Amino acid sequence: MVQDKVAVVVGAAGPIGSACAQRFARRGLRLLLIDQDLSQLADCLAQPIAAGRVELGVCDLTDVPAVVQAIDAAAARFGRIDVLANCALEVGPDGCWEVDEAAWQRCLRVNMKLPFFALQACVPHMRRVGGGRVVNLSSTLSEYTDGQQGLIFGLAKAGLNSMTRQWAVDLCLDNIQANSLWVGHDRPENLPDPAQVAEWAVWLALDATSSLNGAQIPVDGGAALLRQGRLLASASRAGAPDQPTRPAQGE
Amino acid sequence: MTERGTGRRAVVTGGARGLGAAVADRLARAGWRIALLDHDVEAGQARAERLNALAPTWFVPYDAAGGDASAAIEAAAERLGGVDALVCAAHLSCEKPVERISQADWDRVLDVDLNGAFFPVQAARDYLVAGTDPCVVHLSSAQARVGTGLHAVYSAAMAAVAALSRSLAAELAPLGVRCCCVSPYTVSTESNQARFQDPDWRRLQESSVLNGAVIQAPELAELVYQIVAGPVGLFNACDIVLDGGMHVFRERPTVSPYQSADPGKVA
Repeated sequence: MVQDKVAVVVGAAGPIGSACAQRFARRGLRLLLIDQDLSQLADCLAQPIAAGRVELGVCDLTDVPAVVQAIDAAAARFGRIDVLANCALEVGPDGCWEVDEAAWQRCLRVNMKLPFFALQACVPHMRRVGGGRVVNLSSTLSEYTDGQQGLIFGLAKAGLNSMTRQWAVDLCLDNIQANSLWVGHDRPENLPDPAQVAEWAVWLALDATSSLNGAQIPVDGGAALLRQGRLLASASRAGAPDQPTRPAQGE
Repeated sequence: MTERGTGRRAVVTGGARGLGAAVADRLARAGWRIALLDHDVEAGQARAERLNALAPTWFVPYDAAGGDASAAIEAAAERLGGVDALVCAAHLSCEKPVERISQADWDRVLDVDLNGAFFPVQAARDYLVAGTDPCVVHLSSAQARVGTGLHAVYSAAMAAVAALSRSLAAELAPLGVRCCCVSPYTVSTESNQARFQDPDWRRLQESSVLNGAVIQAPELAELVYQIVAGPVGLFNACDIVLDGGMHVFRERPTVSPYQSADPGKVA
């Protein structure tokens, strides 16, 4: 029964994390929500909070021990954990010259260290109920780059993608599945609708077959892959020969 | 989700049985009008009759190996009143050692798998452009990226299907048509039931995935449905691997490393 399940949403105050939290709540799950400022989400979820079905873990996202403590406390209170949605996101600095050590540290802590230790804290509780699901919110910048933009963010999310693969294998005998969703866009104003990404994240966490595992799934409307293709298509359409071309001898 | 599909129109090639039939069934249950294309007239008609209980369904004879698909697509579009989704599931596998693959095997596999992946899209292009949230889904295979041996021609065909899907995605995106690909590992269908009776083969299938479970046709159909009927802003030019994680590991663990993990002590 989905209503018996407990989901942990790390980075619940962001647009996608918050949409995930609200969808999980609508499906009747009990929730632990973790972020620095949960006041807005607390207003939306006032009813399940009052009913004791949603716990708020107000933590700095770089404070790993505080997050782990919140997870253990919620597991003790709810008696189980079934789902971990790693939605925390720290965009960080852009070009190489903008990176200082503090920004590097913060970006890697939020995007890599936090998901890792959040999962480590969840695993024993997932094992006790016979399995679990992890959804890692990643980015197309982990695989494609325009230079400049989100350099540290991209490498941190590449690390998260690697964790998805490792966890899928490492935890397979404990019936825990992990998948990455790659959010992306061609222009900032074309970011996918957080509610739609969340709908799919919740589908992955609750409804998808356990055979969907260790996968990297772009939810960018094709932006990452299509950018170059589009340029080529428009260039070749302009002067496209009608007949298939055969390369000249020796080419 | 059901209401969203109502009245939308899908063409499913290879729809008489197996993966195509499972996809058609999922779409029909969501209220889509379906045209089933298949070379097997008897099985196709029988399947269409059964689906008719769920949603209006027509059968159109079509041989994927034969190249040009315009007659079949036109007949399908006429009955459906247009095309919003095309799922290319017509498909031929070939499991043989290299020295036993004949030229006829080679030609037959590439004809069915590649002609069947391209010509229906070419024929349906204008219908799709005029459709609602139009989408093409190709079925490739985990064999396209994992070398298991004994699948030389099939894996080459499947890699070509994935590449074709990407190229079509780039070309058709400006026209508003999405093209996506799903790459499954072995899926249990009525066509391979006999094979699953062999305990060695079943064990091999189960041990090459992380969850020890054979993928069922409705599970693949659900993923295809999520792409076809899901939000247009999310899925395009993607190749989603549904393979029980087989492409990410070399050796599957035999003992859980967490056997001694104790709630409350791990931090």
